[in-house]
Amino acid sequence: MQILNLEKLLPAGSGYTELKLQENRSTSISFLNGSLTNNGGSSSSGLMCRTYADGFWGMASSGMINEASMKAVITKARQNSHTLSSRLSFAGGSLPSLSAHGDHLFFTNKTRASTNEKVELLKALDAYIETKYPDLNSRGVSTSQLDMEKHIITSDGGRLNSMTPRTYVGIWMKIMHEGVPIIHSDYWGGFGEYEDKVLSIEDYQGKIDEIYHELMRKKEAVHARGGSFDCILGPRLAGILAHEAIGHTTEADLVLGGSIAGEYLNQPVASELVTLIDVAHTWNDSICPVPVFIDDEGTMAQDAIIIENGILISYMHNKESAMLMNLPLTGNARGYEYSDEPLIRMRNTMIKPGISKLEDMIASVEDGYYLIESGSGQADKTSEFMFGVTHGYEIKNGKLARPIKECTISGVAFDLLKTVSMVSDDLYWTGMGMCGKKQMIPVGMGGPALKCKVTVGGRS
Amino acid sequence: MKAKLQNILNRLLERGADHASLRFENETKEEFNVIYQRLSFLRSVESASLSMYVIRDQRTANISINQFDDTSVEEAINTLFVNLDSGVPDPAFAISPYQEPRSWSKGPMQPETDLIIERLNEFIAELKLKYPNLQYDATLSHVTWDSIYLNSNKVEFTDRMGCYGFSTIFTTKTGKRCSSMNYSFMNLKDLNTKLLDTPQTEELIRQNTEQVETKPIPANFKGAVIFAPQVGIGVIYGFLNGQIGSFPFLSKSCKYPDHIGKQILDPKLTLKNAPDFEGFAAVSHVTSDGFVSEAATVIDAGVLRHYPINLYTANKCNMKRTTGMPTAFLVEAGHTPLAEMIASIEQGILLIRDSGDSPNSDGDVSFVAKNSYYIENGKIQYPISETMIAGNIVAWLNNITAISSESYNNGSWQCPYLQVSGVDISRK
Repeated sequence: MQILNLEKLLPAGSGYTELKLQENRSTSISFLNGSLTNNGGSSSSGLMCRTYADGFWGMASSGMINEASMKAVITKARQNSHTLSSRLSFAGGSLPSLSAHGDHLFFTNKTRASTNEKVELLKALDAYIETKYPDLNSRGVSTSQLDMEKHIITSDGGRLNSMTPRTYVGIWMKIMHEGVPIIHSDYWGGFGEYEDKVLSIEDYQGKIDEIYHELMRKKEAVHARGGSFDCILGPRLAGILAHEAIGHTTEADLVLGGSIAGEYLNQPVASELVTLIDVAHTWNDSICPVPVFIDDEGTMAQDAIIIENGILISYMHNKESAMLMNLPLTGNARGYEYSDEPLIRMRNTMIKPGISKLEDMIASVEDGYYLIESGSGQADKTSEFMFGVTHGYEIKNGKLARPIKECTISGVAFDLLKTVSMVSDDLYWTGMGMCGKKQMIPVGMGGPALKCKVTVGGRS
Repeated sequence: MKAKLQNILNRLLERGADHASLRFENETKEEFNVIYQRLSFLRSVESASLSMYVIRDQRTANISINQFDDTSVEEAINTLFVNLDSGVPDPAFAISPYQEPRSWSKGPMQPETDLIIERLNEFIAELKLKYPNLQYDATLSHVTWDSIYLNSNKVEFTDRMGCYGFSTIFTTKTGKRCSSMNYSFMNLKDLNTKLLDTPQTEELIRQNTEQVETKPIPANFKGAVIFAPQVGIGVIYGFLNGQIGSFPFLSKSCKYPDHIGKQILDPKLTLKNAPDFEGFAAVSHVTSDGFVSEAATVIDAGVLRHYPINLYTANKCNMKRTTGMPTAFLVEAGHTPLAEMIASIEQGILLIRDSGDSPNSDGDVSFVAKNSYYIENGKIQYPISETMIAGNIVAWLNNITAISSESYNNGSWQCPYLQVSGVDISRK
């Protein structure tokens, strides 16, 4: 990507202005039953200007990267703000500022892997599956990488140069059992470039065997019963619970838009065992899956402690929501493409680990479910949430019993969290998720296992 | 731009491609945003992309870029051919065969800025007056979209359209209680209609205001569900994509491998691809695999007439590609008014919005009923909360008891209400 001197281009004048140069680079390679069905890459780069004056925002963007284009975009953004302010009136306030500057460029230091090396790895994994498990009906192996490079400058002193990579390898297998397709899958990777994240063929073989083992167990899977049950949400599910069920309701734009969380500030909303944090970049000295050191408004990103020991204590903010609610900035403003405006987005939303052991938690359930892997999820301003469960087991008398078929679980988050009676002492992070809220955005989710009461969508 | 694209296509062939295709897309958008009930943000977007696809020695690679200077294009071509060398040969890879050059142009190409602001201000004023407890955001955009598809079989399509996109997301807040949020979104050919009067918008908002107070259903039951159009179209799309589309064939799990001309769904259901339907504001006329999107009846009174599969799948599975995946879904309306459908139900749900995961490969699905109503003794009783619906989309689409005479057109697809019986419905 061509780099411009944004400092030189930043216009003087009243109001707030941000300039951004961004490139998203992605690679995607997929095999389906030994055929290379996708061998592709893409890049999307451009520049953007957003301004705020007299209570109105204007923004413009272009895929053309040069100084003249940036100047044209600045002019257009200002015109857009003026188009509204000249026709409408509003007594707007001043945007708050907690500006920071820094370089956070996570390029690999290793020799770049070629496309051929990536294809050869996947071919080898595919060959291992095909040879070892000939009874499969179908199989797929894939890798995907996304590098997001941003250069941002703001009129209140913010400056960011960042490159945030993530890489995944995924595998799925399918059998036909009594005429019905059954699928099981897993994925590995996270924050980092391909060279830093992808393992050797041998390292994946055990993981492949585990997928096959679980797939075979799914032959015995039964439909979950519909209704409310004591459940152990595995760490992967607790992460999506933190994101979907609570995280979205406490994004300040949703609070301003009527979210029920607006009524609960400084009140108990969960069991005392629950502390929920949107981590900016680092947890326990380790970098989180989607580290944000400075957000797209040039704000220093800080951990947002949403629930502390069961009490709702804060929300996530961008400049506008912090101004409107007169609350501190948290650095949650991010945009996905160069042409996207920064919205309030979660970063690495997690529930803090507790002290229980997973095996003790399972042993404590008489009749319920151990829910392990999730599909996609959705949230609501009422805090009613749902997400798909793609892998789980019945629990009968404290022991794992039959696997269950895919189902959906739901609940009212602020009710569900009050039923949390045990929290495990481990923590699992995933950064594979993409969250949709006008734009898509990579998000990190983390969780220990939770014991709580959950509504399961099953068959009567 | 077309001349530049032709040069790039020639360049790919000079570099040794046996076949090549290009798709160039250019979008401009003027997006007026009402945020926190106030028109406060105007966003202008210019974005373009060029996708290149090549086949050589039965190997493929693809790349997409948005910088079109000579250096960037040449770098992308170099990467493309390096990646091509890593490809795995497969005789099924192909590009679309020669078709007569075609071009389409539809809709307003210039935004009416003053009218956009007027319509949004009117919307804000009406909501303030009629629904004072409504919390909402809204977006009204003018979009132009140009697409050029070229390939080395001398296929040349130009598809151009302009339209308005309107969406609003809302919830009702009364005291400390709020309703579940709901949406209305559509593409419009013009701004002749007040935004509150656009299809479904005011009815969904009105419903939302009464959904602050909800109750669970009295008990778990097996009963009737009326899928609102926005839910029904998702169920039908899930069937096409997950049961008879490319993926189930490629992954060898299609349960209908030789069913052209056979009854696979309820005879009440007819689904068409209708790219030329006058009522649609925004439809692509070219499929993703480089064919003209032809008007066709895909499901004719429950009988399968076309598999919605792409060219690669057809070649791979020794099948014939016919219409491909529809680009403009039109589900034929039935003969029963919605009111009669509701009156016919002893116990059931009017499902306005679903919140759930995609169906699994066998069609099993479960989701939460949102913004929905409990029906008993032929009458809507009350808005519900914490209600789950579970079943199988294939079974549902084979068990349609009525299709409404009313249809909803969102500017890109049209669907009526579908009534299905024997659905598992459970409460907390």
